[in-house]
Amino acid sequence: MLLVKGETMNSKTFTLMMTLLLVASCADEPAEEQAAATDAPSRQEVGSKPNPERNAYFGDLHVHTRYSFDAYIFGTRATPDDAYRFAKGEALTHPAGFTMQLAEPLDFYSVTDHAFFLGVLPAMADPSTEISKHPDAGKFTQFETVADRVAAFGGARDYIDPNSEKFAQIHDLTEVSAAWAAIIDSANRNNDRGQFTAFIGYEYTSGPESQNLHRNVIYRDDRAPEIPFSRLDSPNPEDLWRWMDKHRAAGIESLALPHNSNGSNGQMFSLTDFSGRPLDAAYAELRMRNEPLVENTQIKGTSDTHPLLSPNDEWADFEIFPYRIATSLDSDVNGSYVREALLNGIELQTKKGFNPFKFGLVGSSDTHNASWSGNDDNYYGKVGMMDSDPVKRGSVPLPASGEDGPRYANTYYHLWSGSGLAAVWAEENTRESIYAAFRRKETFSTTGPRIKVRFFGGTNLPEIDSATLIKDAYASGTPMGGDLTVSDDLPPEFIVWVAKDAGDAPLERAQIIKGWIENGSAREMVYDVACSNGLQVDDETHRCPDNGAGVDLDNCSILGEGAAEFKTKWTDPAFDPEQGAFYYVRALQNPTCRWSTWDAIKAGVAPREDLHPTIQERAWSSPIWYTPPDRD
Amino acid sequence: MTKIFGSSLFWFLLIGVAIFIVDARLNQPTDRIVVDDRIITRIAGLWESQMGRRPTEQELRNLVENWINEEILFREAKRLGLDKEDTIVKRRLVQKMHFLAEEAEVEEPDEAGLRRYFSENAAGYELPRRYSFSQVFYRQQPNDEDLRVLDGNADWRGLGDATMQSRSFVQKSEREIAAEFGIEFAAALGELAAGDSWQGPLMSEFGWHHVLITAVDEAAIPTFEMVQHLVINDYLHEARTEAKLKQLAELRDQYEVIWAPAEKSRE
Repeated sequence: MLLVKGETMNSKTFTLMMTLLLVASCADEPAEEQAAATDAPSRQEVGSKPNPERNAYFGDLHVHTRYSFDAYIFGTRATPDDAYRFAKGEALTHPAGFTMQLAEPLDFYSVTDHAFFLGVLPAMADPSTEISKHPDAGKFTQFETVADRVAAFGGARDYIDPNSEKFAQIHDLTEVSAAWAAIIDSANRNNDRGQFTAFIGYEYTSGPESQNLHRNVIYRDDRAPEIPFSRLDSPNPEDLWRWMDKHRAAGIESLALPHNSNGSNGQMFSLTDFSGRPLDAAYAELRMRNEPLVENTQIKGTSDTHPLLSPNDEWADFEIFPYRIATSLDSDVNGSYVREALLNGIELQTKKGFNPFKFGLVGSSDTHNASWSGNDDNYYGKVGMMDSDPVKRGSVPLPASGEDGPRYANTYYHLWSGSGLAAVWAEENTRESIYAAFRRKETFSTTGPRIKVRFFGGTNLPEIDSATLIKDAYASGTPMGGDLTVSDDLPPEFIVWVAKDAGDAPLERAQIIKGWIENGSAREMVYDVACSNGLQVDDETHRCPDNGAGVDLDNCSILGEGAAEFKTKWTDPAFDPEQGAFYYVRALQNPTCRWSTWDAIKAGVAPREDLHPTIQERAWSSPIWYTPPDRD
Repeated sequence: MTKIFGSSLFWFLLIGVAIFIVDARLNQPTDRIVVDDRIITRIAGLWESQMGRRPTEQELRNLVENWINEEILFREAKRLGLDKEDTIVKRRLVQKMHFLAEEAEVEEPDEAGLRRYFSENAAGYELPRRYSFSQVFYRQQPNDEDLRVLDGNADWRGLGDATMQSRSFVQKSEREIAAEFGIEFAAALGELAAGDSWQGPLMSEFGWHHVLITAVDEAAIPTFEMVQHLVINDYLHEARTEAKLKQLAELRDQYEVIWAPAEKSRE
């Protein structure tokens, strides 16, 4: 929600500035016109030299363009080049005809089109290809109405079975490899060392019985295998991981990023593997070697936790999307949420000595418009023509609504969110540096605002007002994503430092969510650790009082005050050195209008009654784990 | 009878009529597209039912332009063989024509071409005014003494409160500074001049800051070498867009578009 007055600079000039910066830093010229004395501030070249204390970078690792079969059906014609230009700050036209543009460019982006039928639909529409002569080509490329598009999307299912003749007719590997080559080329051309990072990537789309097992594969470098491994090769993610292992051994480094566990009907974090066998150490190693992170928030809902799983978490009911992928079949709650998976992970560690769910967290969008739209005051949906205006998204009533009250479009798009962002702490904006942050899990996730979260744990941490706080915290403790080392069974301390997005609402509170194993059972607890407006955390309830902030629903202006920053040190009052545990930060903004309310206000109608009119945007850090010494 | 067919006048007349007919066909007036009130109303009405409001003038212009292009491409497609006047068929034909335009091949440029492009578009690569500064952050409003102790102080980094933002910035634009500190801070900084002394305090979203502005670089255009990698991308992007528009324009030349809206007051 960055409202910038006056000049808006496009991505070119931003990039140029940084280029000039690089050039200036490389040029061996005498220092500028400083005061003569050597004690004047030196020119720390922030952004052009690596920062050992690491900078925060924000990006999206889940973006679809015309090469995805479903995005093409939805009307998206943007290319990967268009997507990267958008991320750098250029304008992009939505399939419905309006312009989209970021107020603030992103630091990194990955175009992750579906490997399944990659590039095949644009090829079908191209009269010069063989595949366009297929009798069904028209069904997938010519749409008059939204209903046509829905039918085409559903019809794609007939072609999934690799043994069917229909599949053999449509699945043309020459089109796939041509599209993949173009995607790789675009990422490499748009990657700009030090200014903007473009990762080669794609989406592996396995979803047996509509149970979502999708993961995005992100490549570190400028090379990737010739054909991406898709569900047509195998619907079993373990086969994907083995394929990734094979390429890693040959020098192509990658990781897989699962998302939408909420729609997996319990399969994403199942305690049995794909064949139904209980998980074991070998499985855990295979999974953790390939999946160090999980995407916990995006347009199709937030998968942190569910009110049924976390009944004592007052903020658990947040952007819950309870259906399996592309259906309105219910998705089971158990096995579908991140916090429960983290708990199951440490329980397995305690009982069996391995942890297959020891992942860090990021957010992303899953846009099928090539364009991130995580700002709720400017949300234009995810699926092209299908949700391109408020009526189609279900936030504004149908024009045909009668006297018996407003009627809304019969879809579930109103449950979708203006989310999310992936964020890292890295020395510089390059592929190597950001990817290394992914691998060590020094990542955090936000629902859209660029909230910055620092999190350290240890027993000898510096005082929070220390001038060299970050340097000392790295030296004596572990950042987010790491493991606590505890000396003499002393309770660990944690440093939590959160800064609001300078262009968004103030912060309400910072929390640490603890999960631990007590007498063989998993437990969880939310501790408020910092309050706004000078309020104090209650020692018994571990809660901040309500800070009274709110929203004027006539115009979405924010009411009340909040914090610009939180900076605090917290000690676990219930630490037990015999109990395995994890801790992660959740920081909440003061309430702001949900995108559906913005739509309603702009259209001059009342907000839809069965939706929360406001939300509290938030950020989560990756966890810090504590493993008792007698287990490994 | 044979006298008529044998007559060269008859044949002369026959050939003359034939030539006249052929000539008339070849010189048909160009197709006309009339954009009248009925069409404009229908287009605006479709928009209004979807968006819940009337289109603005600019939006309506764009909508009508799109309609004209569609109409032209449709007629072209009809000429290529399909004769059903049917909305669904029309849309499909238009899409096919659009697709042909989209996939127009574009040549890779040489360096001379890139340099030419760069000099023609140099203004678009202009770097905005950029500030290089250091900042000391205070949670509580600082006083004059806090400001005084900064000048000439080698340990300035240890003063004030710790900040999530960096202590020093090199060549940042007002917009980037606003993203870090907020709009008001960026605007206030823009009012100050570079100098040897610390200035302030300025307020940001986070608190107060004393700043030392070490340099202000005025807006400038970089050299071609500095931005060559960006120029290539921009050149290709523009070339593709132009190829598509050129195709449309060439077709359009064969049509005469007449605007005939009724007189009416617009909002």
